[in-house]
Amino acid sequence: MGTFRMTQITALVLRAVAAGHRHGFDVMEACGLPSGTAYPALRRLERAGLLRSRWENTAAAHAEGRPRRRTYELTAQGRTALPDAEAKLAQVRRLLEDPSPVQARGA
Amino acid sequence: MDAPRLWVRSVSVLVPGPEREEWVEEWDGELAAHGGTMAQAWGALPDAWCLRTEGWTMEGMLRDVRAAGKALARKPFFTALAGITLAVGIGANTAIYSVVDGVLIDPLPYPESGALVSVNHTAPGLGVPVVPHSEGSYLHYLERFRALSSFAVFDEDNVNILTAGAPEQVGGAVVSHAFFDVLGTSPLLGRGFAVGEDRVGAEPVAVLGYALWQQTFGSDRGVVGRSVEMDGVARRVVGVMPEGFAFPTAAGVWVPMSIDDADPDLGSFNVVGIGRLAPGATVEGANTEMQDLLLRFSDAHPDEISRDVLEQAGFRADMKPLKDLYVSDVRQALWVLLGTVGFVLLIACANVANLFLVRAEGRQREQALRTALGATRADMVRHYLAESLTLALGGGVLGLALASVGVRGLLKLAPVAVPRSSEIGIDASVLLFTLAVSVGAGLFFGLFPILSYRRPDLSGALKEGGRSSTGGKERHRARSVLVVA
Repeated sequence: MGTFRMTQITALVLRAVAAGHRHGFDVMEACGLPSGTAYPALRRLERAGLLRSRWENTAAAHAEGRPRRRTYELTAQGRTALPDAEAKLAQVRRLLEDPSPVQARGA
Repeated sequence: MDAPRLWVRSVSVLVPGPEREEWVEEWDGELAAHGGTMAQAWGALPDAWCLRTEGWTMEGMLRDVRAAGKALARKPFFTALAGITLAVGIGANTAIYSVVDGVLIDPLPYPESGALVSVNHTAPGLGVPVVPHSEGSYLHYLERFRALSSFAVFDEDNVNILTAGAPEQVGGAVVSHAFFDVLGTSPLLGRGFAVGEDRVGAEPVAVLGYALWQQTFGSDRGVVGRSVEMDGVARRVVGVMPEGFAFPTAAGVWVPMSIDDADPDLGSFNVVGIGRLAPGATVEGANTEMQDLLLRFSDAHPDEISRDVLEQAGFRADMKPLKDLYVSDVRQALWVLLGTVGFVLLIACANVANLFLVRAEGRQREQALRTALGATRADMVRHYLAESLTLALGGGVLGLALASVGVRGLLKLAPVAVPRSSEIGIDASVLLFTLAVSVGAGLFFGLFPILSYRRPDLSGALKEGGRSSTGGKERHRARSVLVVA
């Protein structure tokens, strides 16, 4: 396993799961990300130990006449990494809101 | 099973085996919980592809390519045989495609060339596919066309030029005044022909081609305005065309026609018409207008071309894209030729695939060792593909070299002159074609050893030197398929 690096995408996905979006499609909707971005991010976070996934109870799902779903939740390590994720997203927000970052740096 | 779930199962082949079952279950669960539309199910494809390529890093791919290069270098005879076979197949395809590209696909080298049309007639009843214009029909159409923004006629003719040295014969064209306007090309020096310069009594003038200007006049910019004797007539040079302009193909000098407005030749249909569609006009609309004008011309000159003659000969307007005038004769032949060399490549690929299968049989011990050291099926697939793609790309480079040399020879051997031959060459689209063909060929012949790969019986293969693998039957079957192909 390679070293984990928090990116804007993984930060977004981690925060979505922390906010209670616990299934793949819910995370995609909450983050506005396509499947080819959201699911790989979920897998990277799980491999890094920041998320863990569980399968819901098969009998309960079948009783409702549907297949069981995979549920994602934060691990203790994930909760520790949450401020890091928030900082990453805040950095992006600042970049988007700053109308003249290049001039400011050059000044 | 509904279509979205069927789709998920179809694309699940991309997902590595150990993860596949749970992956399908997760997608089933999410689709069931969110309505399960086909639009949602499409998302399974990029997700599956991401899973398939997760371990594919640039570093890993380079390592595969290096290993493939070493493996191929260890078997120089095999590599040379397979590489040359592929180079011949890919080279033949590249050579023919470069002709197809230059002749059929590339647009004509003039501004907004899509608006350029051939403005002529056809008379299938006489067995004549293209009937051009007489001076009279040219003047008739010129005054009346609305669907064309410009219209001109020309005839190819050699011109004898007398300079300070010896007389020189060059290819030339006799043209009407709007000829350069139709083609949308301005002279490099001076000007083109003015209105009235193509009529009887006008001052004799000429426009030189770039090559003639360079070779005969030493690129002297002062040639414009100078008098040069052409076919015994002193003509004032009014312009020099830019490099690369050659229409009609062999023309190196252009002189204006000499039409007598009062008594134009009505019955000699020997000057070819070209035009530029007016903004918003279509070829079909312009053709309808031309047909109407043709009937009016016939009514005005029944002695030259009566309605009866029109009907008997099937004589009618035939406006079409200018490119079609030159390439329609060779279009079908070139596509057939491209299809034929496609089959040659297919046969080359089948032969190389067979060589790969034979080689794979001799590498069972190596496979067993790799597997024993932890290589997965995906690793073996990457290993095989790296070898086949490296070989195919090498064959592609060699084929490209063969094609660039061979295409000129092919053109010389052609039984008929190939139109637009000066535009045939190796350009970006030909390079892209060669790359696509090479990668396609590599995937094709690399596929057979992959499909026939079975996890080897480790102990048997290692103990007995590779004679007891379970892949033998599959490989034999694959080779039989290739022999049939």
